[in-house]
Amino acid sequence: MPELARLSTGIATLDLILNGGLLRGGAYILQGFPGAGKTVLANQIASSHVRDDGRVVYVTLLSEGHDRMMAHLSQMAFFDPAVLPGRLSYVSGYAELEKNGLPGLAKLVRSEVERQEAELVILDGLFAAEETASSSHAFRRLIHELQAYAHLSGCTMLLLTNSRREPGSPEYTMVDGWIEMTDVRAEGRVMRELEVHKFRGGGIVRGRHRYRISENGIEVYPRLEAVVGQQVAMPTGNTLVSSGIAKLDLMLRGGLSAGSATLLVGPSGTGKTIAALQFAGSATVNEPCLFLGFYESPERLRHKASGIGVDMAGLEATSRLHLHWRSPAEILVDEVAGWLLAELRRVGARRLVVDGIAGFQQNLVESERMGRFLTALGNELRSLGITALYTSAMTGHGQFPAPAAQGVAELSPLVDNVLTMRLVERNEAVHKVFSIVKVPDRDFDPRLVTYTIGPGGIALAG
Amino acid sequence: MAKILLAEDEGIIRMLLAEVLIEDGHQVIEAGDGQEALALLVPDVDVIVSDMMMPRLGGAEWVTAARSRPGMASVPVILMSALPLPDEVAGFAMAFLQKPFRPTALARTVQHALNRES
Repeated sequence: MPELARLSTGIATLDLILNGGLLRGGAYILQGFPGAGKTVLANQIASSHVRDDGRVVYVTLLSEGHDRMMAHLSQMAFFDPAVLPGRLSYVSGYAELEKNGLPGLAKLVRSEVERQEAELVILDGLFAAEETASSSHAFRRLIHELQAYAHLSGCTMLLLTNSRREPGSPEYTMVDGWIEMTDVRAEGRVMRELEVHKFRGGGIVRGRHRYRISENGIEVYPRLEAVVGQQVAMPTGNTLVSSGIAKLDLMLRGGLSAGSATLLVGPSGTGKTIAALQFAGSATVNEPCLFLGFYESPERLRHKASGIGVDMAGLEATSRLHLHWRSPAEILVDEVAGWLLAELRRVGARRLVVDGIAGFQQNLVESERMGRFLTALGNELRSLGITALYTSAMTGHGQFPAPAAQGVAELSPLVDNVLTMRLVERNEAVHKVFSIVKVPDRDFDPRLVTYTIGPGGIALAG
Repeated sequence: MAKILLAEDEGIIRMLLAEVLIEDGHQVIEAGDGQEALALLVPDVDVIVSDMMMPRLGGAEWVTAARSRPGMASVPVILMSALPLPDEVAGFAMAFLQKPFRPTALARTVQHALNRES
């Protein structure tokens, strides 16, 4: 079967969700409340199509002129007024709608598309046509007529409306696709979400995906677990990677399996970040490391590293280490994860440190996603041959000393290896204790080993 | 003004196509399938426009039957379909429009057929 011709939205991640873009000759309802970004998205798609040498007609049903919309769009990086009106034509349909009703509007759309030889037409303000309709039947007739024209002519059609309907409503049944742009409120935050409810003629990435509106326009972040890590890859057990701590490598019988994911758990102050810096510090030119920190700033990390003899500046200068920091305050995890995977590929990283996995955990909003999120990330990292180390603070409160399993149970099934760094009270003193809790299918030293933190970093006893 | 017989089973598509032909000043006889087209066929029709896939009687069948009528063999035929034109009807189709196409493309093709005939 030949593939159906697509019209790219110009937003790679939205095209990914749509399995390649909108279908040419398809009619789509783009629905969302005022301010959801429908007009921005439609103009962004229009601008992208024009950049691909296409032609677009944009019909508005607003009573006011286009000036305000143009003023707003002029702030957007994608908008190029130089192409007006040659390949992107803005047409007001308001007067025609007032004068000749829905039949006049439908005819205007058709005649403008034919006149401009457009491959994409956008009708902004469908709700105005609905208000003008003499009956719901007349409105549905308009939708049917527009959809039929899109099919016949091969001209893709976007119908923008703020009217929310039931999923089974006839309008949604008639068109080829329905994309909803909405808000979700959780934990005091408001996040934008996009969902493709219906799409004829191909698979889509179902479910809700977050998006932002910036000066670049709409940026869509597909749910990580929906787009990556579908294939389960196993760690390459034969190749071992140094943990950066020589005695730990001995306890691990040679090191960590290449492509494995390790969770390093411990309460604050036990040296998890120090251990992570040592892991990062053993990166080489052929096996560079990307270090993503959520809590400690790059300056603080560099300072901390210099205290244990890890020359981060030198590692960074030789591209053995790529240090990044993201504030954990109100991040979109799918945005960060998408960026992270792209950056790992870009720099050819073979090691990854996520210092403070809670940066992801706390921002997922839907906490039940963590399992699927981390599994997808882990699978993708394994397929890339990247050995990952995640640090995680123990979450139990008021328990001292912390039991060995505290903070482990939740994340343990999602990673290959689990290491703990704990504080233990003994002989009226607090000791730091390191232990290996889990390394699948391999022998390891299961003893509890005390350690200190000195100029050489983590120093395991014995 | 020419007399055009337009056979297309999808009503709204037929309306869209008829509209551009009427705007060009032609008289359009509309049929919803091949059987209806044969029933509405008049001797002075100038151009036949037909979809290929229609219920009851498809485009190839009814046009073949129409052309066997006296004086109809030379009437220009324009066929339309989303699928490529089958070889067996390529011989008598003056033009073929593969869907999707713009309605104005049909108007131009009809005009071309009329110009050739005259």
